[in-house]
Amino acid sequence: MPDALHLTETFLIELARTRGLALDPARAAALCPQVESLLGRLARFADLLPADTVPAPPAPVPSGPNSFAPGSSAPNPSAPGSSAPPAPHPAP
Amino acid sequence: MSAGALAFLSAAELGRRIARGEVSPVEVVGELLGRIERLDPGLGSYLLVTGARALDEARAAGTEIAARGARGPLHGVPVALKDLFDTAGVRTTAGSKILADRVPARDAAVVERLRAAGVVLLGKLAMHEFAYGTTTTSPHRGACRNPWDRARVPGGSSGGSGAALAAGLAHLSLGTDTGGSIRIPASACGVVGLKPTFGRVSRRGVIPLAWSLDHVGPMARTVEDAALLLNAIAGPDPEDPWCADVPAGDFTRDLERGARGLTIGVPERYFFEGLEPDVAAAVRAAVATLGQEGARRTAAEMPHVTEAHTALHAILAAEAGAYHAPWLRTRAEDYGEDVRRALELGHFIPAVEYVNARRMQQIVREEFVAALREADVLVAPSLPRTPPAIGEPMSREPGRAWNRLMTPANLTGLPAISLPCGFDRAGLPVGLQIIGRPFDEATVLRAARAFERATDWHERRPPGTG
Repeated sequence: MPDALHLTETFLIELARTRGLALDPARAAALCPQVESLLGRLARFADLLPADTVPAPPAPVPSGPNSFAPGSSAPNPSAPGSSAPPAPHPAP
Repeated sequence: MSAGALAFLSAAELGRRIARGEVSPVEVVGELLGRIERLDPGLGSYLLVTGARALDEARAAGTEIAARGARGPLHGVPVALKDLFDTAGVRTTAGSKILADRVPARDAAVVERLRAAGVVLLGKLAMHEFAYGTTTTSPHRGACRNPWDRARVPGGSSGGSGAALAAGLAHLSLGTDTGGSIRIPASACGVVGLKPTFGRVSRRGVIPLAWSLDHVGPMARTVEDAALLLNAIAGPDPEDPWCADVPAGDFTRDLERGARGLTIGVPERYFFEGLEPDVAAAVRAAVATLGQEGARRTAAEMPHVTEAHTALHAILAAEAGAYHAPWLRTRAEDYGEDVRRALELGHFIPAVEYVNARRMQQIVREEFVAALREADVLVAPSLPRTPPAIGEPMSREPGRAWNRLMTPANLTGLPAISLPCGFDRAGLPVGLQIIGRPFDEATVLRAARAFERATDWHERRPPGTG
């Protein structure tokens, strides 16, 4: 189990700056516990995930007798090109 | 006909009357516009009412139906859309200040399909800013209010849809659901909301929140209306690369088959923990009702469901942070504080943690699919509590988050519906959630309709909406 995470406001401010985000000390102080909490929970996944677990495909695979219209051909769970997310819309 | 009678007809019944020439679309739109003018100032469910345009569309629908008959069951029926769906020539803002003046040139794919079905567009509905929140309280426009208690939130992010349907200000609506945003307002407002399987409905022309988790789905006052709306919008779309190549079929086909022969899985762990007592009582009574209707009950166990909320939180925050990064750099002050903070959080998630969240997604999905080999559907509460007061702080932590019972269906991509199953002692609605197998919305709708048919919760109306 990884050690408990302790982030400093300065670290968050510097990290934000590398991403072009302006984070003042008050905002960093408010964010710190939320980031620590989420990363702390995510760190536990390393112990829970079997090594052979692959990331989930975008859509679940149809299953069950009523999952698609009778007489249809074998369904393809995602269309060609499924490795790419839809184009951002609208462009920021 | 009494006041509000047209407004509270089901869309299916209204469509039948319009097709038979007993009611004109203009008459219906006129009644709804009058109700919106009278009731919506106290609710704030509409961001934009396209009244003149709606009357034009209603006149055109009436003329066409009189000349050639109705195109289908929704021809001439009014629909209002969450303000996340692109509507050609009609402002689409995502409830934000950043897109306040944005007018798309093209309809979203689902809007094109609705227009082909002949619906009349009434306007655009309030939502949590950029769909990133569960209250529909806006720093830019104020709060959308719950028709059952106007001091409380309608849920979100599709809160305007829930409020407008409950108050009889629209017959149908479309919402989006990334972490519960269709089912939360459906539960909180006492209406029906269906999140279809991931990939069942195109998202082309829908402003994204998180590409791998966003779902588009119907909101309505009855299960049949939700099925009719899904019929109109479902199916492959080559313009959305993650829209599945799976035929849609007719989702009304099995509606009246009843609960006999169905096996319902009841996941006691996680889904029935930490509930308000009145919520627990209503949902357990609903499970018993399905049993009385002939369903067989079995236990359901998904050991990693406790990790679902954290995995979803990480994926959502990272993807939303990526999409919004350009605006966050240049217009951060134009976001509401809660949304800005959630977007900033996404920038501090390491890539390894994002990938591990996607791996956990696969484990949770496999466990749900395995449970659904033993059961046709899983039955659970929609929300652990009834809607909070406007302004009450909302937590995103897994143990306390209002949407924590919703997020597993987003993470797994499985179809899930919320429908009314009772009220708490304060008169606030309680929702029943039914989760199904991948692309088996038909069985989810069948189970939901079996419950609806055995009860009258869906016939109750909020005070002051007559």
